Amino acid sequence: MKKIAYFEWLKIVRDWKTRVIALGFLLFFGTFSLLYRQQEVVLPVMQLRGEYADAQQIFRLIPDQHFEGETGEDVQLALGRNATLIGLNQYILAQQEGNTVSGVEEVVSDYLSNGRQIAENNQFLYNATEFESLNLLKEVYLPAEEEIEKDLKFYEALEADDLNIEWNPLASSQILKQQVELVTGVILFIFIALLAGDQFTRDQVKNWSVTQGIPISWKRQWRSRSLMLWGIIWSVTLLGVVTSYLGSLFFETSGTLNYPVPIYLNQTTEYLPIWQYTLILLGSGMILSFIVLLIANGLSWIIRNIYLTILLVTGLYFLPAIGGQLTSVSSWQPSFYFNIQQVVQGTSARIYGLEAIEIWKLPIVLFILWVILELAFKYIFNLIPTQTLGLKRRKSL
Amino acid sequence: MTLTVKNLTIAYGKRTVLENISFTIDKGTIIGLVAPNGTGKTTLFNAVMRFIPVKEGEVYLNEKQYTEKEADVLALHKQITFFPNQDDLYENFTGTEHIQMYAKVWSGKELAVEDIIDQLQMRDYVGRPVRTYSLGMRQRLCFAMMVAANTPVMFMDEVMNGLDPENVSLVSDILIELRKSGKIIIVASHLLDNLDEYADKVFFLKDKKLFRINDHHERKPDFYKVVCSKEQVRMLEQTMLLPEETIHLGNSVLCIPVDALTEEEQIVLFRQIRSLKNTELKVGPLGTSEYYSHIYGLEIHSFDRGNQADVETTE
Repeated sequence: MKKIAYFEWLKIVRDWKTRVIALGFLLFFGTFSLLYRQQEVVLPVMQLRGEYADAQQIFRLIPDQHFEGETGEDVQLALGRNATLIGLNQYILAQQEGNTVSGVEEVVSDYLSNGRQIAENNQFLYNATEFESLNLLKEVYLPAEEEIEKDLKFYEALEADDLNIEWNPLASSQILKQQVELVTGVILFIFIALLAGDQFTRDQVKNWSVTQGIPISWKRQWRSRSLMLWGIIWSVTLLGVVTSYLGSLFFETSGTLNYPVPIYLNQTTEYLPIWQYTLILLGSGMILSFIVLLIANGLSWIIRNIYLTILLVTGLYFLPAIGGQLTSVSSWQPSFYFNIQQVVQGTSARIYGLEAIEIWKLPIVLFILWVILELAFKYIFNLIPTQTLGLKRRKSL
Repeated sequence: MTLTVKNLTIAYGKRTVLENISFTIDKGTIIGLVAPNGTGKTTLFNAVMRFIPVKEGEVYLNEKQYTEKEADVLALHKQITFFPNQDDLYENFTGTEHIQMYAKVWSGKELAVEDIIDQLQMRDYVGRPVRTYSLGMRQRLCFAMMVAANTPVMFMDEVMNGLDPENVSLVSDILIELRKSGKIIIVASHLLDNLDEYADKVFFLKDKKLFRINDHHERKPDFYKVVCSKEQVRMLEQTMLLPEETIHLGNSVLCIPVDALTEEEQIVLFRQIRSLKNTELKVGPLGTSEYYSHIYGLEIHSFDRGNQADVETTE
């Protein structure tokens, strides 16, 4: 295999298409933090301002007589306390100092204990079954119970690592999280499709007699080219991500790579530091991309039409959505794992009604898919790619 | 090393292109493969290489059969190289890189690359990208790639295309060198006289079959080969009785077997020929080009020396 690897590499890097695409993606990824800063983002303090308005509004919606009696009074107290706590947290965030504001700690307390109290109050409100306007509360005020659980875990995670609430959604660490989600999403499929869509097609259309008859199996060439393109894709991606992250440090607050982000694990939401989340996403993306590259290169050998190959490969990303229209039977269905973000965020588990769709299954599922691809292409590569288009059996009937 | 093809039949759907082709070639042999365009020369190469589906037939190297199974095809490709089409070269690779690629992939070493470049006199252009090459340069490069691959069997399809006489001679010399080293080489070419310079045998394909094999090592009878017009042939036939074995090649060459004429008849014939204007006379065995004309009924329609007095005699 080494015999031809060098020349395969030359073919890839001498191709202007490869260079232009790699450079384009490098520029895009490298300047992502600058581009992202142009976006309009909702600051957490603004979000709390909205919640504060809701907390005020709820008193107007609930009839005064519902607040009478022991339960009613307790509910009124909890709602009132929540309004106060939201107001305090809004103030803390606005000061951009961390979890509390120096000099007035006694008055405003700290963001985490305030947040935890809000969550606990909300849990209490959920259980106030005797309260006459409970349904109204649930409809217009209370977050979903799972959200309350998530909030509590979030505060726990912040507390465990002694971290401050992040007031800046454009902090470098936050942009990094966004970028990693981007590069492991549909962009990855587009990158692969553009690079690999004509790898074998060009050989067969433009260099047929030079590439046929080489005593190295198609399968080996298929794997080796996929590996080379994989190397190019991830060199460009990682270089771009690092450049973007370092660049963002000059323009924004750094944030922290230990900041907790939610991830769907063990059929519930857990919080992991951004750096771990990033590694999981990138690792999953790397595994997935190799499989998609094998598919793309294989299709370029079979189809010999770059546009169709690009369409099919990009379409793989949307397979989960297409599959979702059908009955989803098992969490081991490979197509679910083509959308990494939906899996790690638990969206797939929720929308397909399969709680067992979890990111730890991705390497196993994709390994099985790889074995299936190897078997399928063992048969396919035994066919002859004729010059006149189409595959033929070696023995004509 | 021997290459044996048995009962090879190629068909595209119901259309049979080659039927029951069989031959055995020993090591150190150059075979010329001739036939008009579209008769199946390239198809024969493609079939042996398994580049196209084979309906029936077997391929043996050293009496070991190579079937259509992937492992067999790969093993076959280690021992046979197929002449690349010059349009299929990588335009952004240099000539050296092409030669190195073939050397590395087949023989695993690039030691001979520099020698091949010198031998084929490619030194002054081989470092440039192929997109800058002329037709002849590309053709020499394709040949150099085959030499670098150094496989025991080589299929040289249209190897002399686009080469000037000097390079045809150069390539012919190297083919002879390769034969000395024990290679089996099949050369498909339309330079028929050139084939006679180095080919051990010439295979003629006709009517889907291996129609005739000319063995250049066998003694062949001599002929008077008279290049003349149809009118002049008619005149000769009127003045003397030509032997039955006389061959009319198209509309331009009359081949009269020397052994079928007495010395007196030869003198008469010579006088008659001398009396015709604008004729040529050669003596010798029939070459590939003559057999080609004979087998395929080649008519050289443009044969006209533009002299209205061709039929006149000097008398």
